[in-house]
Amino acid sequence: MNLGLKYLLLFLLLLVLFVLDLVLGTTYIAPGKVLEVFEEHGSVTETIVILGFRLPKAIAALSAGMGLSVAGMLMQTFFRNPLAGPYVLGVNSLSSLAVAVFMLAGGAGSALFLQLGVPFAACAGAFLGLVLLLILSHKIKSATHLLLVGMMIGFLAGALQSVLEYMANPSELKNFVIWNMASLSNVTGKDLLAFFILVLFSCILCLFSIKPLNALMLGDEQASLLGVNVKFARNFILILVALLSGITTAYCGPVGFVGLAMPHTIRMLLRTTHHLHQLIGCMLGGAIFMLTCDIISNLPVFDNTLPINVITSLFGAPFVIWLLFKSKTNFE
Amino acid sequence: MRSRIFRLRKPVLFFGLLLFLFSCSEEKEKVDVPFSAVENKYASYFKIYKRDRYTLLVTFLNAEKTDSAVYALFKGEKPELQSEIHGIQIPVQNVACLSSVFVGFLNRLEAISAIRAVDNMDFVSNQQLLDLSAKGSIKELAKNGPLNIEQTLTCGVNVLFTNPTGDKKKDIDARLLGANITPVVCADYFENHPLGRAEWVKAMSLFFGKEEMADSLFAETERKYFALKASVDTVSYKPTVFTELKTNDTWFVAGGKSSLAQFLADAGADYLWKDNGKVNVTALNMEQVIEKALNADYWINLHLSNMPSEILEKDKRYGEFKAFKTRNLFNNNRRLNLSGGNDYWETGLCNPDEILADLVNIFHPDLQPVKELKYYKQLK
Repeated sequence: MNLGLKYLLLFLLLLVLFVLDLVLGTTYIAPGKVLEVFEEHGSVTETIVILGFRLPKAIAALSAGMGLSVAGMLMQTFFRNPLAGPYVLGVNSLSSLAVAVFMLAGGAGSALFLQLGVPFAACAGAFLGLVLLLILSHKIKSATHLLLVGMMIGFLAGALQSVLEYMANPSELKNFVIWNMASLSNVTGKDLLAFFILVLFSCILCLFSIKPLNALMLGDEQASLLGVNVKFARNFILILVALLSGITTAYCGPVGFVGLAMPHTIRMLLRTTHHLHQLIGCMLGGAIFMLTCDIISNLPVFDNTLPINVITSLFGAPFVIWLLFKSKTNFE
Repeated sequence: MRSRIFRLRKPVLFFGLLLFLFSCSEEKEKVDVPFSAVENKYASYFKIYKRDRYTLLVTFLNAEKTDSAVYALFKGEKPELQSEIHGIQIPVQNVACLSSVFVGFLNRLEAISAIRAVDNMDFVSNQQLLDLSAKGSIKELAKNGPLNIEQTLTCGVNVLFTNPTGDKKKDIDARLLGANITPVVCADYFENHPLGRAEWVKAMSLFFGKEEMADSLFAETERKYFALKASVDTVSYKPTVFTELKTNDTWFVAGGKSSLAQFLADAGADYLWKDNGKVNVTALNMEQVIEKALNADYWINLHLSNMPSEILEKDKRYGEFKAFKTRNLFNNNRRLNLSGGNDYWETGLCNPDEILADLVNIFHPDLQPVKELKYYKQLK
């Protein structure tokens, strides 16, 4: 099957899942009624459920999936580590810690400041995490060791976050705990538009990193010989990852496993190492994965919304175990 | 089958223990009379048994009532007791309250001066206690988390009123007992009738020898409560009501058999989840609440919100509810202290007639049992 056909199938699957996400939910609304809502003939309740609740959630799922999946792909190439991902290497943890510092240590006063400050803090935390990993990656050559160090950074950030939570006042703590639980349904209105545009813009910026990414696969020296400004390329990729990971974490909270699992799935599916195809594949695949998780988390059988992180982990964790078994020699 | 037997084992053991105690005591204390149980009218998570030399207070430690703690409250010389029964000499002089509702009960019993420690002064609204705290007379034992055992051991209290955690060993900590501090575990929040929780004043009164006062206070509360209830019984219009805001993706609404549902029914309101048959909160998502509550008349108990704009800041979709558009938004946070502690949870729960008066005023303003709301306020 050629790549074009694969893209087409992925795109069609994405469309189907997007529509399914609008049709399926904890309350039953017949597909015909969903159409009526878009034709502006639906009842008030159905209109609010579809346009006010399900549609923003589906767009948030699509954006979060694209952002995290592309960030994971960039990190895996950047660190030349198949287990790299914003969640695994502690980037999300530092992003959460930065938000915790902002929200719990007296940073967030007004609602407006909270709205502006959280995305900034999340991006700054993600960037700090990446810089730290970059410095450590020069010292630590073993992929396994780097992975372990990343996990330790995650634990350290988690512990500091616990201290802040312990000392926080109840209302600040509540706001933070809610944010930290991760959710797709809390992004609405202008926030949703900003989220979608920022993710899309960052993904478009990734197009400028295709050549360096392909070259970096061969190692820094080979990349230099191919005319890539390695230092500039590394910094550029780092900023892109911080943007994608930070923006998604800011709006949806720390969502796990998407960034780790999806790039592998796409590489296996498309059978390509070219980063242009990986980028498009990850955008489509990440969106498909998150839409699927969102549909599952809102299935009527559960009688409530399951936390999105539970679903991504239920799918993501077995995948990582399988990956470890399948490719264990590569990580030595 | 095995688990059912296991669940039954503890109540059977407890009543066996009472029988055993009764039979042993009869031989040792020839003059003592048999236990006489004091019947509660609404509360079901404590029992009082009277003897002439002491009173037994039994408190249940979980919702299923499969575990309990037994306290023998005596005056003067300590009677011989089974090791499982915790003897407490009354009246107690030095107590700690690890929940603000206990402060409310002690306030009703005019026993605030016995309080030496609380969990966190931020939650306390009682002025007398705030004054004592300002003088440095009140210790805080759980300011930012779990109970600080070291501070508790050294704060000089004999009785610690606390809520159950589900782990009896943790609730009745051996280290505290060893230091002559008896944790009195009160599962008052499991009561599913507002008067059931208020009736706990009777249990608390035992520690201060103020049973008659408690009986009188409770009887007055009950009388006022039912007078208010009777005033709405003839009203045909029952406005629809829903409660709470969502927390992340989940909207926790009170169960149809909960204390809040009872309050709403007695205030002449039609609670939207009154038929779900649950005592505990029910987790729903926003879709489910929109489907049912979009056109509801009233929306109450809105977390910490003070203004409609604060609700919208949390989620703009809240603005679609009819109750929001008509500003029929009422929150139970009229009486906040400077630290944000809410008196609703301190004195309100001990005085359910006052909460009911607020609710009747809200849902049936024409009846107006009180001129001004005490615990609730309209968000404008």
